[in-house]
Amino acid sequence: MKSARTALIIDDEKQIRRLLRVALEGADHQVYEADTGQAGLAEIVHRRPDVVLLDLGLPDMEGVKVLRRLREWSDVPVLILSVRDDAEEKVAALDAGADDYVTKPFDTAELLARIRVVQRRSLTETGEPVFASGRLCVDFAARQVKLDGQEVKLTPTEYALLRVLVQNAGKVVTHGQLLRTVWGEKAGSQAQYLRVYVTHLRKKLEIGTDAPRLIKTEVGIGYRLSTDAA
Amino acid sequence: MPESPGSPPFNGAYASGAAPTNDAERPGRALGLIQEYIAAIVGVAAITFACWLLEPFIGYGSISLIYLLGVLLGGMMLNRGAVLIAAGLSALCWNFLFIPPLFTLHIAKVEDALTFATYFIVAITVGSLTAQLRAREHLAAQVQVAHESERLRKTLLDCVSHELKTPISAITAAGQELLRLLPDADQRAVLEQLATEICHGSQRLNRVVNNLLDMNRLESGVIQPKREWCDVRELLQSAVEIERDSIEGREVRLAVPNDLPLVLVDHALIEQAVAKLLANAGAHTPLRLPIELDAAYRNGELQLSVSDRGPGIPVGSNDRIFEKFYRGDDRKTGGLGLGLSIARGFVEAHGGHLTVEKRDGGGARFTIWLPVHISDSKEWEIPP
Repeated sequence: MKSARTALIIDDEKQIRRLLRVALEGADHQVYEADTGQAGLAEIVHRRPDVVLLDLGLPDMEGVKVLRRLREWSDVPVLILSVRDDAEEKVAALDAGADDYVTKPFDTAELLARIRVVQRRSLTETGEPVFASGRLCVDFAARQVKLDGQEVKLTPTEYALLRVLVQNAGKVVTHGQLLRTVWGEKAGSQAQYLRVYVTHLRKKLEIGTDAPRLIKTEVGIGYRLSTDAA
Repeated sequence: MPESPGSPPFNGAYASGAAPTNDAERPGRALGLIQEYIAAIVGVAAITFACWLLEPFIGYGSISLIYLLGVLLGGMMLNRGAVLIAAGLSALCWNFLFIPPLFTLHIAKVEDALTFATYFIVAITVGSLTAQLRAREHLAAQVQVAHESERLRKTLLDCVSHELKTPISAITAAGQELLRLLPDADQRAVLEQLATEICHGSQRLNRVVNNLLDMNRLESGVIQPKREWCDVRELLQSAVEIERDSIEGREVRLAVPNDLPLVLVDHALIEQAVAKLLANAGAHTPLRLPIELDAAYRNGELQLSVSDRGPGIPVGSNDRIFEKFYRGDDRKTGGLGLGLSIARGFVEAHGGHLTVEKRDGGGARFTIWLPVHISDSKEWEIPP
């Protein structure tokens, strides 16, 4: 079997591991499994996977702890699997270095899309000069934004915000990450600036849609620039 | 103090009739407040009688030590007021019945007066100190019990949540994978239908589990709103998105004033409350009739209303519809009857209230009233 990529599943539930294996093998991944945090860390050293799927509720150690250990020496893309519908826990995991998350019960198609996105990041780290997806086109060199081929005038702050979201297209970006990148460390927890500018951006970029299709809100966590908005 | 609605193991131990003051609340206590005072008086009387018999042998000076012992024992069992009464009463009895001249409160000798004053002060101090000590011990025990029951509750919730959601995840994922990989076979239509059934079944199961967990969280009083700045339009849109399946085929008319400022609310909580109202409207509104979703801000209060053209609320059941497991007259809508009750719980946890009224021209209007802070829509433009 040709397997371009390898994936490691760290989850203590055998049934979930079996299902993820089927889905990932269907998407041309070679799959390894671990049922504890310790075993998972050992497997990452041993197998050097292209992507890690990490459950937050492991029997031997907190998933966030696994992440911190892992991030000391590896920047492998990590996707969090969580049954707990707790925004704070997800933010903690994202801040500890996770790339994205899905909440169980998850949609397999969505899970595979997320896996593609977190892996793409590590391939295009250097960055393309132009981003085009759906109706949106951003030319980083010219600092130019186009919607349906028409140029959209953005203020420097709006542009800076859009740029961060575009650079992480398809991935969730937390409130903290956005505030720090756009306004700097002193912005702290002043999340209302973020709301105001997200609203501005949506007004300029989401024309003719009744619900946000481009900049999606992840409640309590952050925003995600959708790449499948047609 | 930790919140107490979640610690019922305690209540049964309270003495019936004990007034709910800090002093009176003791676990495992056999006496009520009034009884404690009576016990203090009876105790002093009993000691006085015993001393009356003993006095010829031990002398009136040693009597004070027996009284002091009584006050000390009282301090271990009774509340502070009762102990102080025992201390005062025993001092009077000792003076009146034992210190010469007998049967007067007058004290003839200087050393007797000195002993009496010392006794009085020692008895009152000892009584009050032991009572304080006990109150502190009791408080520490109460805090520990509250922590313990909170920990147990959380463990149980996490377990139930995990144990129910893991199989649901598995069923959901399996069903979807099946749908994705359906072969081009003769049986395709049947297989597709079966896979779709699996997906719908697991969605419904997930919904029920979420509702039960939400209800449990509400009842144990652990929901603390995490307020953040929210765009109301976005909040309503995401609520519509959540319930897309249950309101399918009905037009949702969203009306949010353009000048509505950002509001400080718990996005997830209020979004869920609106979603439950939408699901309710979807379940009771005939297809193609519109559901209206309005927002307004007046005098520090945000109003979010969901209006439908369904059959309306049966006369006299305005409050009953918010009760747990109430399902209206037509049972065909299914569900556990928890949605409205959870919506109300979420809104109340947020310091607001949820009302329902009849609409002119038929249908019901549910309104969420929330006290909120609004933002002055500050902008912070970074330099180019």
